[in-house]
Amino acid sequence: MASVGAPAYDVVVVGAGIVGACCAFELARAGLSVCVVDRGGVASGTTGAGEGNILVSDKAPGPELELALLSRRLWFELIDELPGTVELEAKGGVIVTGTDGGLRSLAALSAGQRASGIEAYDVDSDRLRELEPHLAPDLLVGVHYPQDMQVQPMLATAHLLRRARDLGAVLRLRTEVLGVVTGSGGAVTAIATDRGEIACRWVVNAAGTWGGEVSSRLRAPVPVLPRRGFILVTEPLGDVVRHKVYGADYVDNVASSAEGLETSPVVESTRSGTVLVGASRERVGFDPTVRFDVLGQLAAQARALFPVLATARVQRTYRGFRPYCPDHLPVIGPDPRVDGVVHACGHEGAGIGLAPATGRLVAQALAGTPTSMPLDAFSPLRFGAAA
Amino acid sequence: MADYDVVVVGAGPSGMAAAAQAAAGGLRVALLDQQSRTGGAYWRHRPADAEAEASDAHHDWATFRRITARLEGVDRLMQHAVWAIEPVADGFVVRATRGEVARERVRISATAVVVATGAHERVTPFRGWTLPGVMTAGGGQSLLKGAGVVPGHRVVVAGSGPLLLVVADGMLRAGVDVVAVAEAGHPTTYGLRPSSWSGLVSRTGEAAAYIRNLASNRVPVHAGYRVVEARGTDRVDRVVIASNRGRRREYDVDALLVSHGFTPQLELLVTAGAGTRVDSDGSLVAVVDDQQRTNVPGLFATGEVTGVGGASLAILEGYVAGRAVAGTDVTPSLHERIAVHRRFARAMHAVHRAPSIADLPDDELVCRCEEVSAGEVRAACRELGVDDARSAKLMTRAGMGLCQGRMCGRAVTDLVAVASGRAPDEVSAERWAVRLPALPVTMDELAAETRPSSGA
Amino acid sequence: MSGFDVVVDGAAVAAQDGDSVAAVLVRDGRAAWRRTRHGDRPRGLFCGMGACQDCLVVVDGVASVRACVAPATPGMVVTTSESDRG
Repeated sequence: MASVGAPAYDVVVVGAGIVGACCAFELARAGLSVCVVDRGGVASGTTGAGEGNILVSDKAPGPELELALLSRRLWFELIDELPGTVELEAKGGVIVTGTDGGLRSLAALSAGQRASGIEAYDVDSDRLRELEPHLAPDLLVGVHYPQDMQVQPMLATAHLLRRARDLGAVLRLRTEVLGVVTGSGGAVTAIATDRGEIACRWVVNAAGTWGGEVSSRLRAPVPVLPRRGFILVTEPLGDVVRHKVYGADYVDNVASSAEGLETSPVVESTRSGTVLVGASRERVGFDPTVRFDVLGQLAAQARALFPVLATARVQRTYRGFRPYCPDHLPVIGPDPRVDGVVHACGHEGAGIGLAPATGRLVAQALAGTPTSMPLDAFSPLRFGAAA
Repeated sequence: MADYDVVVVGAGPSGMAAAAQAAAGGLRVALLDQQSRTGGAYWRHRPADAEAEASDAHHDWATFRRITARLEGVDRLMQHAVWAIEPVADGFVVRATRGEVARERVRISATAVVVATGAHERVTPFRGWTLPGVMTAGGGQSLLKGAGVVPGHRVVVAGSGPLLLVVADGMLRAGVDVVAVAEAGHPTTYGLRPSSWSGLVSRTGEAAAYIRNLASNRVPVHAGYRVVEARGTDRVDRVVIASNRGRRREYDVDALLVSHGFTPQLELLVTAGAGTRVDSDGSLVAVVDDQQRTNVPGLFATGEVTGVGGASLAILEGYVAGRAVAGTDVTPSLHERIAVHRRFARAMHAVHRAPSIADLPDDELVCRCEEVSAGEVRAACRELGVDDARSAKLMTRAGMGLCQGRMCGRAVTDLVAVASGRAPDEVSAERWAVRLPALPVTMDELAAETRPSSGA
Repeated sequence: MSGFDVVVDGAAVAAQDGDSVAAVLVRDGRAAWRRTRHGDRPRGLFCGMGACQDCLVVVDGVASVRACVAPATPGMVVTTSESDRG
């Protein structure tokens, strides 16, 4: 039972990661009273385990691209709002290929992207060399996406939460959601946590990779599952990589194994001078055990793109669990099954980029105002009996 | 078949004992260390010393020689820096880099592994601690024992722990002008715990000998004094120590040797899945049973990684593991001796506490590698909701440099604990020990990993 | 005790059998042989056992070598004025 005199909030946001922070900020700015809860600390989940990408280049035309373009615009608005530096860099991305097959698929992809409003410029090998002097010489052509950006996701989350608190939001860390309390009409009246109930009218499920578990506890299950990824971090290097660079060719491992291992080469530098190397995808639940051969593939692919990395030393490796839904689109919006439950999770590897738009859409949905884009594609009911 | 029945990682006293004992049990043994010679830090020596039967410059040299003789059948793989231990179906894959310059990839399979990687020194940051000429007491000692080189000609030895007297005595014998020794704790309180007395006898005898030597050379030993500042421009030239009541003393020096205890090197064990606990000195250590087994089948841990307790204890634990891996029984008296040492170690931990981080000025560095100041960490706690080690790292970059938090981890934990009001254990000491690779490896070395590791 | 020379920043420096590169540098009178990336602060030997990564030097063209771990060998070429692959 909620204790006498306990505060009541309009909204409880579950998850103090980037999506939860964006939701909290938008909701607080709209004048709602907000409480953010997280069973861990600030950005203790996947937000701190990725690269901080804000990309349009890896999105095929469709609802996710629309969300990404909207969100990218909102990132610029947010930067003006945030009190401290979050190291936003509009560094741009380059996809490169060394095969004819890669050339063809790149051409098809970029044509469709241009038609949807993404800036995508074909670059020949001379221009490629200008953009990235250290790229392997055998890479033929590529596409340059000036709109790709990078941000420091931990700082962004922390500063967004700080802004939200300036606007009245309350942050309760180390507090785990256990369930939801509904009234006689079936609407949410509180959430139950391991530190007591918190009265609220809405609860936003921004629990990322644990969004599936939390959604079950809220009696509005959505199938968010973990997809493991590893990242290599080099020692600080000089000017080796200037953009986010990826290889269009999937080198012998779009796998048929049970874990669905896929790796694709992604290399980029950071403000501190380290180079990050990704990207791998596996369905292994939350198994944290390292697979050395996966690390090996990432290293080999990075070296193939940038031969100078051969003698660069990897000082750290880490892994994260991307939250994905079966159709690889996030779940955003109110859940008709429980009046008051709103989802904002399942962004797979694009959570940082897509967070501001998600926060905006959630705030609009709660306020009952028209949303900046349709939410149908992100509906929690789209999974049918599988949910 | 695996390359070896057992691989011992770390060729200090504990690893040497484990390897010797396992070999005596008829096993095929490899003993690995990143250094060029066996002995670890405790028995750091020059090549010619190995031939000497006795040595004033080394402790228990006869023991070193005896164990070395028993390493005859052991493959001693020196200059092998192990960066990961992976449990696989029939045992383990041990990954190492051979040669600090050559950096060649090495992969060894073993049925069992003993991790005896010891501990590095812990230093609580103080003003000026990153000045050249300021080094760990053990670091200064390793120059002396490993090369006959003195770290300076006029030194202060400061900090907390029994190592200080040992190092000061060694420096004195090498002709260094030891101008003062400053011990932050009050060693007279050892005597307050009867359970630790039985271990004290030989130890206090040793300590008394060092104190006598220092006294006869007129070296002041200040108990209850901690180092508060090292001054200098390109090199330390003055050291300030202070008592709890604020009494200060200053000395002109060209080197400062400082030690506030030890931090066990746990990363290989943690990556392999071994369980850990926090010991009475606040160190994260591996959990082992009385056969030195971790919770990972076939993975043993001995020496400082199971609890900081000195070389004698480390050797005993090595013997136990060596026998256990060979399937030989261990006599009860061995376990009793281990228990005695552990009780004494706990008494030491209670007395020799590292100084508080609370006094560290905001503008002083806490992270040497990334050059992050204490003030930046405190600001992140105040303004960015940092209340644990992970977010402190990711928000400030403290611990994200080449040493991956070895030098600053405990200090950052303490800063966050003070700022957030949470206990250091809650702030999470374990995060710092998650390091894969344990040491940097080249992209080439990693890229050579192509197949999933299955059996040995 | 056998001795040999190593080359440090172009000059011959005496070394002895068993020396680490760090020992050679300290015997030669140096307390620092590297500058940090951000603050350009001088660093030399700190932990002496390979943990702190402060004592880095370039050896025979290989960067980021821990001087306290690398054994000195005859004719080894050591460069200390690196500024962390700026």
